[in-house]
Amino acid sequence: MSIYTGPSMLRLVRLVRPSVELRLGAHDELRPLADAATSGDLVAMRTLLTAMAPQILRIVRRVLGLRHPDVEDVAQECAVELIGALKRFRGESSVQHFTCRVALQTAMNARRRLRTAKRSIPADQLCDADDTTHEEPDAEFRATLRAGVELVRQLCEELPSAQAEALALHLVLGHTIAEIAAICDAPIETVRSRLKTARASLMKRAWDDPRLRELLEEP
Amino acid sequence: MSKTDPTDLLCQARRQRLSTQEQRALAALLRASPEARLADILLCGFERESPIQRGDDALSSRLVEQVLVRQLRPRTQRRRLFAFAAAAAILGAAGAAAALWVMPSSRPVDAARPATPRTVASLPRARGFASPPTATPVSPVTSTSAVVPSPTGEAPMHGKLEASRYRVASATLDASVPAETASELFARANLLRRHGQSEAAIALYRQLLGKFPATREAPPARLALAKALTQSQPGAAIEQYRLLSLDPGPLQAEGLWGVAELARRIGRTELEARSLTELLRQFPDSPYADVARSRLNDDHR
Repeated sequence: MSIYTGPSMLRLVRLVRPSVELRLGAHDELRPLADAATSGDLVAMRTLLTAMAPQILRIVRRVLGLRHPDVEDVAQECAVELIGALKRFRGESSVQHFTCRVALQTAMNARRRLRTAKRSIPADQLCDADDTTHEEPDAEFRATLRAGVELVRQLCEELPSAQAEALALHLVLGHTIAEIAAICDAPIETVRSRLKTARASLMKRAWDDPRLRELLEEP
Repeated sequence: MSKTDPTDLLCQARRQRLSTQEQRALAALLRASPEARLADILLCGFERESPIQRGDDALSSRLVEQVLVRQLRPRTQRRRLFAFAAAAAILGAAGAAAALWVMPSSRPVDAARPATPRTVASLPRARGFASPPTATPVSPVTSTSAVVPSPTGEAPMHGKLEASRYRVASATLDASVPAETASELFARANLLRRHGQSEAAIALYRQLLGKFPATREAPPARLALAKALTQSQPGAAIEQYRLLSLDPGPLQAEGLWGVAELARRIGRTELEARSLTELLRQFPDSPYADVARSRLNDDHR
């Protein structure tokens, strides 16, 4: 639970639920399923996809937005991509890590493509998760949240792919540095460096946004 | 994994796995580091984007079925498709060879025309993995817009800023160094504001809006100006919010909300109601909409 202790910021950010944890170094229970799916076992493929579907949905929603009309289509695209990519999977990471990476890249590519096509989204489908169960502190806090989320999404389209991936894995999906290193099959220091550069770009843009500046300036 | 790393602390906090000492360290970090505060709010924001929804089980089932259907396409059909594609390729190659045999090229070689370079961006995108970004990557902090540490002077999350950034920051505070572009003006105004020089910042925001009214810096500059004027000149602040609400940019809703909030504060209830009504009409799903509806309903009672 994260608590702001400043006198002007009595915002209690409640944890909705624990984020997906990727157990590092543990036996990969999904590897046999993935191997069987790759060799054409449809039952194994179904089981694997059923296990991974919630993670894929979670990733797509965070990249596109909860109410984006293309969530289902892009999630399907991610699942198809996963099955295809499994043929190239050599066990450098766990199946769950691999799924995370494939889904994130596919969703980010889809977002780029949809924005390039200027796909117009009806205004009533752009709202935030207004039907979540936790308390809403105030309208300006929600505006700050939305501004920050959109800033990260935009930045992920503009940064070099390695930095964008590290930033998305950290801020969009909530992974630790070690988890990011495992997912990307990269050294921890490389991940730190990518995150540092990406965060510098993020901070520069955030300081320029009046909706975020008050948050940054508050002690 | 290192729980003392600020990145990890924030992530682990969302999983409720911090010791008492780590919680204290996190609270201190959030007080001291703007970067940590931003990261925390962003983690919260993205969590809100993926709650489990009613019907997710059916959605997951559909996903699985649709993918399996694609995998189940009959092998014979695939063989036919392959044979057709191969035949088409052979015919096409034969046709091209025949054309070359019958009609040798008579076009003069255009030695002056260089071959189009094949850039990374023109390469076909590998399926499933990152494509090169189509826009210019955002450069790290440049000399004209240095990231300034928090007003307390404490080091940000990842250690001290490079000395060059401090030198640049002080240079852009120097009024004798003229700002050439909207971006420079905006960065300097923001720096001044963060250093407590409100009057100088207000002057620069006004200068930017006067000289560069149609740039991308103009809306955020107007919003910053309105906020800066709120305490000392609420009437002028309302005017800036009003102008912002008329600008069809990304901060239009903020403009309408700003008018409503200030109007409420100075007792102009009719102006407040008009602004809130317009806000709901134009931006029914904005973050301000719920509060706007609530206030209008309260006023009607």
